[in-house]
Amino acid sequence: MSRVAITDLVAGDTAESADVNATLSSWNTALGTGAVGANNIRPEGLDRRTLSASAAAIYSAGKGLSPYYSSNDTSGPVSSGAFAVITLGAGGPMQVGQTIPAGANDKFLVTGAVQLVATNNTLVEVIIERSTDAVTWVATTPQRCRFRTKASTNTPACVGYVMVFHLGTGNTAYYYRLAYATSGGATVTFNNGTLYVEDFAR
Amino acid sequence: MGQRYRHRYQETGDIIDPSFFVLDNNELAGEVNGYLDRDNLAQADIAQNEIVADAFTKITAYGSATAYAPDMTVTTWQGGRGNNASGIQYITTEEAAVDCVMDVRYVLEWEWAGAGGSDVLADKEADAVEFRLLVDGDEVCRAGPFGDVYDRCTTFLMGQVVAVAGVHTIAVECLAARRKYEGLAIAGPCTYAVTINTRSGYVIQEKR
Repeated sequence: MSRVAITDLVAGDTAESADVNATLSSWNTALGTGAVGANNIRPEGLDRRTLSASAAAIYSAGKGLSPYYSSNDTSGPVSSGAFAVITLGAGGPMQVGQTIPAGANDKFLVTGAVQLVATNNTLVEVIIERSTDAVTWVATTPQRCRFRTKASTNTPACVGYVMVFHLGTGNTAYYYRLAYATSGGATVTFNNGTLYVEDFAR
Repeated sequence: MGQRYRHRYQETGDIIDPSFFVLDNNELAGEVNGYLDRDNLAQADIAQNEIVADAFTKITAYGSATAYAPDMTVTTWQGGRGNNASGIQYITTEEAAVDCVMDVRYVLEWEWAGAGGSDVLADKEADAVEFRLLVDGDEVCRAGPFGDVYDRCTTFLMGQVVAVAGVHTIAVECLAARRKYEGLAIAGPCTYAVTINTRSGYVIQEKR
């Protein structure tokens, strides 16, 4: 931030031209490219009218939520330790994407919830995965939710939640999705799920 | 800053009176030096890149992967005065620089030792665990009680408060007790133990 310094003129002053030039130079400096800053603006002088769209926060669809629902989806056995994408029937993979503008470092809060039913005494683990191209995915750890169904034929439906915070770098697209793994090759049925990304830009 | 009008317009042939030059320039300089506002800026022109990070939203992460074992002889709220192995979550350093809406979200995983074997049909009782989220001592969210038929599961807690500038305390507590089916009244200590495993939370300060 630059402040303007005025060199006062006095009648009869023999250095008038230098004083005028100094004042004009000060104006150029104060109003030059990138020179105007927070200290030039009065307290509470800005409001939302001066902000461009998505300057403060970005939502994938609507106000903060991009829900993905579908009908029942029965998935086959999965080897323990290998994560498989949760695909909920006609709804497709539970996946959302967001591109961060160049020069910005956005803060993502990704939240997922799934309802599932598994066979007896099954340990099911659900995680959030991340990708920059929707092709290569990596797990976001350590937060993951785990369920273990009861060792009997009366297996209750479980609802689990996963949540992860991620700081993204500028000019990059990010995709998030839910994946799961089970113990012992059991069968898991995912009934409903929600995955949404909140982009707190600034 | 509003419109500023010159005190003297110079005409050809005028002898310039420096006092008006000084007056006009100093008046403009006074506005630029700390009194510019939305009237001087184009609408929808300030983009994300021109805004300092965390100006509108500040997010702080908390959590632990260290298992916490509640005292199973206690049938009152516990775990909210420690972190890691000594408690679920206790935050005393969340400082709001300005008044804001404080949005707290918390996910935790827990498991029972008895694999659903605590329920006694004849007594109509079962072990259960309940959770709550507190901000500055006020409860903002409660979940459960969850019986041990849910052998291993996750719980989500979320609450919002209008927070004034200053330091705030956030705590997550549990209450493990044997419950009666009717009215969920506390019948006594649990038969089996519950362990609180991986947990993580975020405090989102939503300013202005």
